[in-house]
Amino acid sequence: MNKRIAIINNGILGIYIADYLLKLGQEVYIINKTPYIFPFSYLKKEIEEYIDFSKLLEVYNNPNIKIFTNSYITKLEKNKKLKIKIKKFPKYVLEDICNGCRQCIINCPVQINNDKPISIETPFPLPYSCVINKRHRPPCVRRCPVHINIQGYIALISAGKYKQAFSLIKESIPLPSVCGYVCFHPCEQECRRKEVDEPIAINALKRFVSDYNRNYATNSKRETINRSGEKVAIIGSGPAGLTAAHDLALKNYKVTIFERLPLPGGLLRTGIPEYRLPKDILQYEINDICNLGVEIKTNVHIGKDKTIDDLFAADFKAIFIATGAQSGLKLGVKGENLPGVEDAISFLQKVSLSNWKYKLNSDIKKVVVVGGGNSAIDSARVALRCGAEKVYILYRRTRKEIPASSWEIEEALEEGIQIEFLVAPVEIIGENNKVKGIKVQKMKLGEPDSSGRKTPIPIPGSEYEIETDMVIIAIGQKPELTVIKQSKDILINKKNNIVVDKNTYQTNRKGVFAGGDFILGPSSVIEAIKTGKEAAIAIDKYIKGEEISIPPHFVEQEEPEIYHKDELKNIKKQPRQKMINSLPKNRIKDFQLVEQGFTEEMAKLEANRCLNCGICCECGECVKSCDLNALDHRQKVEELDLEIDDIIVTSESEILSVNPDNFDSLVNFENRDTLDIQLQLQLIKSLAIISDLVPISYQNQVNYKNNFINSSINIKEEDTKIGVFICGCGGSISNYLNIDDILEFSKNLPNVKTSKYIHYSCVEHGIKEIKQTIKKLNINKIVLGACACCNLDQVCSNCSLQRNRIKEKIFENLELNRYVCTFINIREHGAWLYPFDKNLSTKKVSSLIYRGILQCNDALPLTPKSISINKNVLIIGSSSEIIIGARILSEDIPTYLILTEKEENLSEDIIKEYKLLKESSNCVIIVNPNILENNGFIGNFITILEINKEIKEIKTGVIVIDSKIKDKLRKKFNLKCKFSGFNPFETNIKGILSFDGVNDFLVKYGLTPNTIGKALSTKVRILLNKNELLSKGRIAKVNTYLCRGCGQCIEVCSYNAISLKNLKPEILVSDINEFLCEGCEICVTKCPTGAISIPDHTKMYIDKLLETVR
Amino acid sequence: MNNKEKKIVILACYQTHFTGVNFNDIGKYSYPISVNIVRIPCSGNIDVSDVLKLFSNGINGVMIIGCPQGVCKHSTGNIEAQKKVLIIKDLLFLLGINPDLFQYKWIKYYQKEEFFQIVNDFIKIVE
Repeated sequence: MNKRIAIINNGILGIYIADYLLKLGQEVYIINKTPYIFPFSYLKKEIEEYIDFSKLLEVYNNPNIKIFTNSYITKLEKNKKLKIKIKKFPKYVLEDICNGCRQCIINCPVQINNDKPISIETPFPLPYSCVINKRHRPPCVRRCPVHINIQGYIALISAGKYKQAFSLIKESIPLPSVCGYVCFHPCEQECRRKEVDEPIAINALKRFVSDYNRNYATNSKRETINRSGEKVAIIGSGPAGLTAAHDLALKNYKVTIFERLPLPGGLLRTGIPEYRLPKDILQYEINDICNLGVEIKTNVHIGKDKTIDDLFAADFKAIFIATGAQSGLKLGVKGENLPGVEDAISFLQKVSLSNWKYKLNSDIKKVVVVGGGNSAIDSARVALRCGAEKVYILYRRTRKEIPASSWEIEEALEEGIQIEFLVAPVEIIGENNKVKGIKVQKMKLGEPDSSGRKTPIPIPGSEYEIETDMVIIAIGQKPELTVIKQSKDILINKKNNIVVDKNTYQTNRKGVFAGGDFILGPSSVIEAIKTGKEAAIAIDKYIKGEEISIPPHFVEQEEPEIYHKDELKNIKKQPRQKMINSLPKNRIKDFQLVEQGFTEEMAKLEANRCLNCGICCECGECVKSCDLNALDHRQKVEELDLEIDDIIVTSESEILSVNPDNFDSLVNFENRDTLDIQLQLQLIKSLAIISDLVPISYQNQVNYKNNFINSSINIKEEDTKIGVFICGCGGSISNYLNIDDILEFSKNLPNVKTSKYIHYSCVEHGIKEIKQTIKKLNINKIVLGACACCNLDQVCSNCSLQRNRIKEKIFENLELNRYVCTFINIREHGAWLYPFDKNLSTKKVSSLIYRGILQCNDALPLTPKSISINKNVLIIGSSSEIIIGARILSEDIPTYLILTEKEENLSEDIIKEYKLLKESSNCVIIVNPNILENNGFIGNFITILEINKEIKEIKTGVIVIDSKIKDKLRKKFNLKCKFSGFNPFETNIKGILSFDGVNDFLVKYGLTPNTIGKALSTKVRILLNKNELLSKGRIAKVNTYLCRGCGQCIEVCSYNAISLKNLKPEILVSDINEFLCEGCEICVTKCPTGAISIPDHTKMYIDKLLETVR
Repeated sequence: MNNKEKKIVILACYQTHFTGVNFNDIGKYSYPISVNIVRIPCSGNIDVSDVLKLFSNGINGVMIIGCPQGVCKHSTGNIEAQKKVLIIKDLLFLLGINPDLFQYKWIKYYQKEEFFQIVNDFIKIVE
């Protein structure tokens, strides 16, 4: 049985408490707000020295721990058990799969002050995976009707990835160039950059990237794909129709577009003049759509030549009407039917169908355009290019209210077009069946109407005449209904509009859908595209027989928008790039393109202005670059329910997140800055709390896996077969190296049987590949060049990161000893050193591999030893702390208590405890004996006592010594107190506990004897809570023939592992305790005769080094 | 002798961090290819004869890197090293080798700038 304890972690303390609990065999949940369990930012300069990375790994690697990063507690309920609710925020990277190869970071186009939205913390990320930083979608994307990933393509442009930028736009719209030329870009009005200086020229960038792709990138052959699905008819080849056709064709429908005019494109062709959108560009994009398997039948007028019923009869399963709003509204004034009065749509259509060669009659000199929309401006500018000498535009309101785009008006004015504001026509004056002039009335502005614009009120008596030869009426259009005239069952409402469900685009007749301007009235290209896109989804669902519902383009993230105005403060002002327009004088002569577009340089400058206010732009570059499929941009906030027994909060700032009244186990790590005394104090407090929290009945034995030994068969020199494996890390290593050279080089080195390149050595198939090679070629030693687990350079054996995945798995089912495998860090120490010179890094890596192979050649299979632990405890002293500690321990651990004072001298507070202890059958109390000698080491101490002239031996695992003990006694135990922030109670001798340092601040910080006693008992339990003690594999050995017994090694050993023993009477030699030796090799170099050595790690490494340096 | 051929060996203690280049520092920090870094278990285990051997075999500069006082994982390793360094410096002087070509430095944890600074300064001295 064990307890489940949640730790709200806020730094080192949480990690240490988790470590204590795990060592007592409990289950631990670590809940951490940050994406990593121990973020580097937690490190305060003063305490960084005490961070032991291996401790972190040890905790992280424990099977009993569950880590919730990026999460916090939202609810805490206390019934019999504690129930907590955890909110886990997405990292958008799957922790278990990501191996931190950083290819995604390299490919990410977004740069915000040298940071990227996808990152991995250095130096020690735990869990070892990347994190994506996302915010609410940027305002431009939200404003765009079809939610084109604007930030995404701008970021890609700034990174020079034009092709990717283009395909990203194409994911949302099938007509990127058209949009790039003519879109009225509502996105730019929302751009956050406008708060700094000017918005980004988003549309011009879109135009640049689509121009770039049309001109350079696509040379591949375009082949028409034949579609095999159901037939769908689309009436009208404008933006809505083309979009729907594109989307449906991609879903494998056989789409036919019917177009009334001889050329496809709808208003894009006939409504937008050539100088704004060259028609070869339009044709290019229409051809692209045709290549997807869309058929366009021109010169077919549905409603006249064919009816909707005919189409259904011809086996079309669905019909999408997108004929637009083509019939111009009438002014309703006298003289409107005179020849020489035209509506804008038919005028523009006439000019466009003449391939922009139309000329006005030579007697038409002056033209008046009525209206203030874009089509009014277009007609005026077209009329100017068709030969008119003077063009007026009449508008009822002021320039502030005019619906036409401001840049269009600007350009029209440049070209010499005169705009009269606050005038409305009253009558068109004709003479000889010809237009002679137009009578207008002045207006003033009144109250705002329902649309929010101020209503113009005529001023009586202000009429005057404008002389003109032609009037173009551009006051709006409405849908033309001929298309459905013969299909009487389609409902039309009172306003003469078709009845359409705005959510599903369905008319009342089954299978007939409508979209575009036909249902919207005159709108914009991008809005028409939106209806086309959504109608395509609806039609697809209709044909499949599913319920029609159009999913929203994106679901807003749950978190509210966080954008601090302060972020904008530090941004350097940089004006928006402006396109060069051709000179008005020249451009009015013909229909040449007015706006000349961005050059590559301008585009990059402009794209770099983007603030990347959404941080991650979801361009998908990371997903493409990840070979492991570890990224998931659709991850959502998770809510988890946990049932736990207790909760520990390690920081004051975190207390508010849970209601502190609900539980009592609260460790408060107030002042992290005050270093080790404070830290030790907190650790002692937490140890005491653990003693309350985890009753004895819950404590579990922890069995440590002895995962070092698989085979200890000695490998003879001539049988050595080394396999060299080079990990490419998915490109993070291999891109910086000439892998083939290294493989070739390593093949010819001594004893190397094979050398192989592995794309990823830490994933399943990579390990499998290594294993297969090992088995096939009977390899008995491995050299693996890969990344580092950590900055400690693979020295620790309890590593848990990616490399450990390989280590663990390679040794599974294989007869290989860990010590004959050499792991070399070729990433941080090779590939990344010379990122700009492949040859240099190849040379460096080759020399590292060479050294590794030489080392591997000498490596011996080593076997760590194990020894069982004595489960008794010896407690010496008579202070309150000692008695309380002994009393708690005696509940389940056989305890020997040596009282150094007489029973009568015990302080009154603890007499009660002492009595309890005396009654306990688990405790032996020895009063004031003569301690003669103490031998042994942790787990196996032998203390020799003299009681009443009788010699007695006590065998214990752990000894606790009172801090008030006399110096004379202290010497018997060789005790010098070591004071370290992370190891409370520990002394210079492993296994002997004391609390010397504690007394100094006992009063100051209000630590009671009770707390210390409890903490001591927990500490003892932690030490005893394992079955056996393991030695390190690579430890020093003494050659007894060479040893003179000078004892110099004893002086330098800081682990008390060396002692002198009698080999024969009067011959003393050094003896190294294998369970205490840590393999630091200091004694090896101290020994004057060379008697001490470490089996395979002798001083020969210098020779090997020299060999590779030469 | 060409400057590029100056060979330098750096014996760094296992606990010394940042002897390699972190991902964020690619292109920012580096050292020449003639610098060979060897990790040793503790700076205290350097051998006087080893260092002399390196010099006698054509290495132009040797540097030992360990942890600062009080932070040694093996508690006294850096003090042991300090003692040996003095001996080595004396010996080098006697042998007619400039003792500056052998240096012993302490680097605190996580001080990557310091590490590359020290290494590159040492290269200048050797050259």
